[in-house]
Amino acid sequence: MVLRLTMADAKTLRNILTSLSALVDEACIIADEDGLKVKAMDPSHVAMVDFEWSKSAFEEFEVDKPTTIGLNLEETLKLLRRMGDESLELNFDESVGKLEVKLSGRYKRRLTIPTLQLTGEEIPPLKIEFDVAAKITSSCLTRTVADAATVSDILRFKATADKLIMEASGELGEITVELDKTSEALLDLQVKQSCSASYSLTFLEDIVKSASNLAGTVNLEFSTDKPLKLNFEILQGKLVYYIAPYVE
Amino acid sequence: MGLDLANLIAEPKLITELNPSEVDISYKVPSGSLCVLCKGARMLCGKSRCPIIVRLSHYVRTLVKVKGLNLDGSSPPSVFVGRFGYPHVFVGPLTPPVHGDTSMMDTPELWFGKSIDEIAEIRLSLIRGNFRVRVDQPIGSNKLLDEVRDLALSNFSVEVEMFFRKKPGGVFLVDDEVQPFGASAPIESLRIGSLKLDYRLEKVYSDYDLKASDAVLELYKSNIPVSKIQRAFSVGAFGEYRRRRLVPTRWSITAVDSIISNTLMENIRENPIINEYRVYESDYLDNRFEILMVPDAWSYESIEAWYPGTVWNPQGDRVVMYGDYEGFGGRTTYADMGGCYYAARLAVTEKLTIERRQASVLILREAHPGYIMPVGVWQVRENIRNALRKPPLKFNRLEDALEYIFYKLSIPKEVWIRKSKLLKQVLHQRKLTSF
Repeated sequence: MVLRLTMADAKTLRNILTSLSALVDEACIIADEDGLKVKAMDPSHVAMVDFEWSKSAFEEFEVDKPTTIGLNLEETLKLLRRMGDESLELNFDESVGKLEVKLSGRYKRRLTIPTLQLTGEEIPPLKIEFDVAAKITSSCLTRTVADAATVSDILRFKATADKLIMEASGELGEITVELDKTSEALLDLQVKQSCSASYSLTFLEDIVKSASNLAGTVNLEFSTDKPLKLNFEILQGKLVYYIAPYVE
Repeated sequence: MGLDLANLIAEPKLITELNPSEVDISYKVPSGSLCVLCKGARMLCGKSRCPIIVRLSHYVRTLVKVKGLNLDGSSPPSVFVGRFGYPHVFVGPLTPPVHGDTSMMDTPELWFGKSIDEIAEIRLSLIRGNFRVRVDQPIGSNKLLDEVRDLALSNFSVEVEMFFRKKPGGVFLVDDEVQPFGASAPIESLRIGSLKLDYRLEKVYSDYDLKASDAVLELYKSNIPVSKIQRAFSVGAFGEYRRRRLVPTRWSITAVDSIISNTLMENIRENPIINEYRVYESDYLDNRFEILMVPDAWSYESIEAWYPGTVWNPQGDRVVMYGDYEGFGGRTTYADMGGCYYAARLAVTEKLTIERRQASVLILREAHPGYIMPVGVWQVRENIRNALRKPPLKFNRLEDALEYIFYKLSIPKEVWIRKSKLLKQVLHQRKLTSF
């Protein structure tokens, strides 16, 4: 057996895969002695996800040698969407090419999921200096993104020394969300210089919808006309997204 | 409201030619229509020619050939399934009062290049027999329907004799928005000559476990023209046995375009991206198309602009624009724009499939006043297929490609950009790879 892991709550795995599927249809999961890793970019190269899950997040985690698992996320999620309050055991053997999922709740279930031979795209690291770092609740971001999507395709982030503003405008109207130090939703704000940058709501919506299930807070970092970094604080791991700017 | 033919058509020459006293029809005009005032002479609707006169002359010419309560001719084959009253719909064969090989009359793939008059002539010389039936009427339970289904699947034109309950024609609707159609009448019975099914059609027809969408794909892969697949689709010749049903002609066209292009898109997403900006173009029936291919992941947008006086903008005083967009993953909702969106998407995905390439594709269409009446969605499909058959203009810079396109189109660049999601993306959305 090349990889074997167990976890108490099967739904977490489903939520993680859902958050990856916001950007890609297929993912190449790397398993090594540190845990699981996925780095993927959407086909139009506008957004990417950098995900790591430390082995301490699992009850048991055994891997013989670094190995990659290629998954069709959409198909896999069709099967996993039916998971409930169950514990999970996952087995993968490269020579078999199938992922085995054992679920135990009131009774035991076993699923096998076909895997793909994927050649993971080499993704160069991004070197960006951010002028703004803000920590907000993910529920605030979820709400803002959903509201903004009703009027526009683009969400603009602005930061001044003591304020973070998110705004969108379209034919239907305008929406502005202003957070300052008195707002409960804003937990921290560091601004080197005032900035303003816009990002596609199509990506933001998909990302926020799935990732906010995994983390209560999110660290936003951006600079004028530079990418946006969204760091969702998950337990024993990292879930970071980057979105390229929309420059008007 | 009745109207005298001689009164309607002010042009004396046309009246003598048509000899209206030979046919017994009355004319119906929607209330408030400009047509009564205009009588085809003053061009009040803004079109370059009167679509009613174009239609009426062919309508009458065919009608005078129908003597009595029956008609014999050679059906291309052609079948029309109506959508009003669904699931109780009118269905029936279309037959011209001529014999021999008429297959061209129901093969829009062969019509590209014909004038609007020629197309009106083809369509209006088809007389439609109809009867009402439930769409899920099982095979073998209605003789007339079984005959019509067999007819629709024939590989060649079929000799048909239609026996009507009353004389075809009767009322001619004077309305500049109705699609070209010949006279129709309820049928009592049919007599059908020998017919031969295409063996590939017969195979899926007799396969009661094959899904309708898989049947469509199988036929498309064996090079059966889309119009033929669509005709068989509309008479419910495909699908799992219990789920077979009639599909209104209009819906079946879009269903087939959508099923095929969805499948082609799956493969296109895996293809390498094109290397340059490309522009393809075509101009037919006063419909001007400019197609932009952008070297980027698959996405698709189609926008159409209707000039005042054209088919879908008859009373307007300014250009009306509609558009729909889908990203890399495709769409799950029906495009508001309707059938043209899917017909154009089929033509585009065919091209990328043959080339084994991937691109973001934008279709810009201007319908100018010479497009006096709707001829059908095939016009869009064939117009774009025509554009894509020709070598493209290639550009290294987006700006140059856009400059060319907006030089060829009449509507200003800013208006298109405001309307186009894809153009905005291409112009403003940066890539992570550039940081």
